[in-house]
Amino acid sequence: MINIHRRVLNILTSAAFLTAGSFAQTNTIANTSMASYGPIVAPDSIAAVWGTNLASQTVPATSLPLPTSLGGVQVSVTDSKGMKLIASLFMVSPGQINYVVPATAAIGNATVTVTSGANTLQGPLLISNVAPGIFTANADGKGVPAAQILQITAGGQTTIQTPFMKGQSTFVPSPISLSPSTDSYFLVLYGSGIRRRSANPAKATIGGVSVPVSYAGTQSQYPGVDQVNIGPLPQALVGMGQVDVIVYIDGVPANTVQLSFQ
Amino acid sequence: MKEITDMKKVQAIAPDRRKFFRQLGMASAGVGAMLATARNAKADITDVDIVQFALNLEYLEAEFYTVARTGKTIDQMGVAITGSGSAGATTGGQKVTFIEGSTLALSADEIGNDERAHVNYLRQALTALGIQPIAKPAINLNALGTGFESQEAFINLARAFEDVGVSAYGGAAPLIQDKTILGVAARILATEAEHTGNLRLHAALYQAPTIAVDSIDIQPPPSGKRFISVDSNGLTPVRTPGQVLYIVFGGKANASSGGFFPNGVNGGINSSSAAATPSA
Repeated sequence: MINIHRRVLNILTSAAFLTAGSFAQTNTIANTSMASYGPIVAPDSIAAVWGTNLASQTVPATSLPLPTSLGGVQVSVTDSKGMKLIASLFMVSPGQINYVVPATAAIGNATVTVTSGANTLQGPLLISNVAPGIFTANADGKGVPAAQILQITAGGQTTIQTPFMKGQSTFVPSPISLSPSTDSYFLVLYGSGIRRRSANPAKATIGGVSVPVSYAGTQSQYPGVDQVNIGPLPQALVGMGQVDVIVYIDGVPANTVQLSFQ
Repeated sequence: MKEITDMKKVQAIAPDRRKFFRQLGMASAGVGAMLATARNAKADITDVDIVQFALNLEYLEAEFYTVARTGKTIDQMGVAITGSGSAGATTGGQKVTFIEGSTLALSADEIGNDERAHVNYLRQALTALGIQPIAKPAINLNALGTGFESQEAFINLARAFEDVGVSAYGGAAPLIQDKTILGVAARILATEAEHTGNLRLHAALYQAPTIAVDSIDIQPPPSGKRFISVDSNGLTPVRTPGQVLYIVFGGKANASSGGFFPNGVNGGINSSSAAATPSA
């Protein structure tokens, strides 16, 4: 097992570059996947609440298991069966809270309640069995993924490349080398909303080329984080430049992300 | 009675059957020459009645998928809805939040296209025969209070519509006298069966609970056990028109309105019977 890219952990425990106004109007809250920023989440996945005055300050979780209260803020999910479930928290901030949708939450329409001192805010949450999302380096659901490229030599030695780099103001794709061609290369994506997939094979395409998915499921280090291992990457990707990467879980596409190949 | 009105109209107009069969995709004008006047001796139901009855159900299905995917009604999508009988608005329902690009969303688009095509097809076929199609009756898409609030709610209602649709065509088939109409009905039944197979698999994949519409309903997983809605003989359930109306009228026997059709349906087949039972 390789350790999760630290950028993913930064995303989970930090407020995103996005603002609450992208999702919620004043005095309301909205919920999205923390990975795809889409409106549908899965049980045992990581979601974000967006709003204003959700917390008095930014407080990240600093240990595992995750707490259910941070900075005096709690989040609960009342699912479609009326069960009120307390959520674990990665981070609270005035405009955003990152939390884990309780694993036992029933599928369907739910209500999220944020309690911060005397203030209580509520908003809708859509829960589906799978809602695949891939974490991106810019924490906006787009662009280059917060991923790793695992290179394995014929002798079994491993090297890890990071497929993104700092651009002028954001992270941009860092061209991936698939040389020497005698080595094997695997793309390791981190996401959420994937683990409850059926036994049907996950699918992926890179630049329109179908690539094998060797694993799609739970990443064991952090709650709600899933992992997708893609590869070995075909040499047909060499020279393709920037391409789209799409992962399908039970026929549901994750947010499209981009990589660049030398 | 509506059915008699239609029959008189047919006799007076002397329909162009060749054109009608062209509409049905058939080359021979001789097939099914007794279409318009063919009458089922037992039930006193004509083939025209059955086509008009089917058109009511196709209006309902088309409205459901169109509203769920677009937030628009079928007339706003260019589908004609005027005709004989009582016209009415469609109420309830809303655009459903899907994960776009998913097989479910893409399937819903395809199925919606198919259902709108069925409405157009049946209307054109009737018109070609010189018979005015029925108008779209008033439809309440919110009759069950579900179907639009999530992907899973959509699957639940869509699956119910499609399985009922399959059983409706299967139940009507023995009543159809004209073999050309029967052939077309078989093709529409097959289409509805493909739809329900798709939706039943999505119900299982999405772990979407479903409701049983009556005691012969075969629910897919997770609420039921069968991916395919067939009995021990490998046959789909069938429902008579009255048993179908029982369902779409909101579980009412001997009724002429209710549920999805608050003002009733148009055409000669318009009253529900008791619910279908396993022994029926």
